[in-house]
Amino acid sequence: MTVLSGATWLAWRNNRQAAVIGGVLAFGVAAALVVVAILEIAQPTALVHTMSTAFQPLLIGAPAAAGVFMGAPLLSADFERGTHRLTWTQGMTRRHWAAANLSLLIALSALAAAVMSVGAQIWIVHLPNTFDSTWGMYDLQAPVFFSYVLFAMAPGAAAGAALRRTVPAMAVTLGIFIAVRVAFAELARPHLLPTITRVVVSGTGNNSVVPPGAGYLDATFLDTQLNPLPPGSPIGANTPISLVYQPVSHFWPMQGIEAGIFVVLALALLVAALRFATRDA
Amino acid sequence: MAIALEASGLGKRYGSTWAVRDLCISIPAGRVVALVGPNGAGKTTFLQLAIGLLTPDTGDPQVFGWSPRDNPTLVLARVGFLAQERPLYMGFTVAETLRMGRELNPKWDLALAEARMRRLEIPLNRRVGKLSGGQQAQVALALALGKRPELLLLDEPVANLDPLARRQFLAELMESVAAEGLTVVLSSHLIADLERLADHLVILAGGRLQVAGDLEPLLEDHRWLVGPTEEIGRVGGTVVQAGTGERQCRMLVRGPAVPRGWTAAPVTLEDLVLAYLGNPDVSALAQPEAVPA
Repeated sequence: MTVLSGATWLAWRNNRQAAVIGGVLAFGVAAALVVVAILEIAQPTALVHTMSTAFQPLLIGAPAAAGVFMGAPLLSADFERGTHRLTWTQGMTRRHWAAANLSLLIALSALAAAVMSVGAQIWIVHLPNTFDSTWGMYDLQAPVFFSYVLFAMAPGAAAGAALRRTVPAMAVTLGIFIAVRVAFAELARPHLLPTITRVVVSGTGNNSVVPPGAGYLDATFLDTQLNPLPPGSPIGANTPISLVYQPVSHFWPMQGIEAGIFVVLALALLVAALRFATRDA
Repeated sequence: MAIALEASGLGKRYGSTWAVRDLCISIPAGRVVALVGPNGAGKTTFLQLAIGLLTPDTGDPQVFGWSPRDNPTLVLARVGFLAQERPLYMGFTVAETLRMGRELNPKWDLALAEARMRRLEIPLNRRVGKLSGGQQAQVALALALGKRPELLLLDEPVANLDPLARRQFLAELMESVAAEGLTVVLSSHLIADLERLADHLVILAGGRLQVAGDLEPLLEDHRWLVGPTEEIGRVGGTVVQAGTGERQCRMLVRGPAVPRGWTAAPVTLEDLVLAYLGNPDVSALAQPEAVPA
């Protein structure tokens, strides 16, 4: 990497090992996803479906791993080794040093996120109908997946810069990432766009009355006056049901909104990281 | 005379403890300053305040007239710094370490640094972690000198080096000082090394300045006095250290007159430093230079 110069060169030199390992893993995962997608078309056996199923938790965990192993050590390593006293006393400011490191992190994580998102998207669209490849794969679709990788890096960098010790920063990164992701998915996501409530009557269960492709959120049995039935009430074939769901038309807009929110959160944390990183050691 | 580094009322506090307190200091350009003091006296804090690694709580140091906090790049370009324990990236090769200097400094003399490595027979393609402690120290010095600083701050640069490596390091340092005429502030516990190098002495005690001045006048100003104990009252000047026996006493004093019947002997730098370190309440701050009326 002789094209790099200045503080960016130093940032690359200090992180190239992690970058190469991360890059190989990202490309490896993307390539494996494409292979599984091809198998799902050519030879959709039970084994191939098992492989597809196994990829889901792997992809859910990938952004967290990136934040823990790439984001957290980015700024803490220099403090741990005492080399910040070397780099901070060359000819550039601390701010310059921190900005170069953070820029490199953003560039590398965007690249890795893009590669994995493309792989995941190719895989998702070729999944058989037995997989719910829209709402069921919501967390792995390209827009939000990309934003999660960026978002995982940012608390890593901020925690590393604030705590100045790698292992505690890794733990904090994991904690923040999981807490924000889970809280957002549980509390905020269902309300990113207004839900639709519809009352239907069906004797064959809830699922069959949900419109095709809708993200089903809630169902409540109602009495004849359309008030909620108390628990344990007898349910008949003509019992009305109040359905709350997100229509299929909301899927991609919600992806865009959630991805945007996570990117903004990431940028805010990166600004915090820049501030933490330039404090006296 | 140009001033390389000066500060007045400089203070730095950690919690409720002052590491450096109310420090007023002025180091003329071109001097080689021996910075001494017991552990915890504030030497490292002072050097880190001077380069801007630390933000002062009171006062603001001036390096060639610039504040390291307000004009960091102006100060950094003029000051070479070698931190305590000589931090380097152990995974870098020597060549990469020198490249780091080139990438991070606006002016950088790669040829000079490489020539220095060749002369010392330090292979450029070797990892820094594989070098001996003495070679690592030389690489760290080459990095600090590569930016062609006007002021060089060295925080215990020869600590933990074997005697030969220490001598080689100091020889390299002195060669650069002679060639470039740069100002050096060197903290060390090894007074014998300082005696050969330094022409200016600064002693810190408990975060305060205890002694500051050019070495030659300081040594001329101090002497050992030996005389009868009962005549101790006749000794003028400042008594830095006194060893009183039943009949005779031996004192290190600062002052002009030798009382009749007393014998005087010159002091060495080591005598001076040990006497002041042992008596932190006595200070010698007035510059011996005459002030024009």
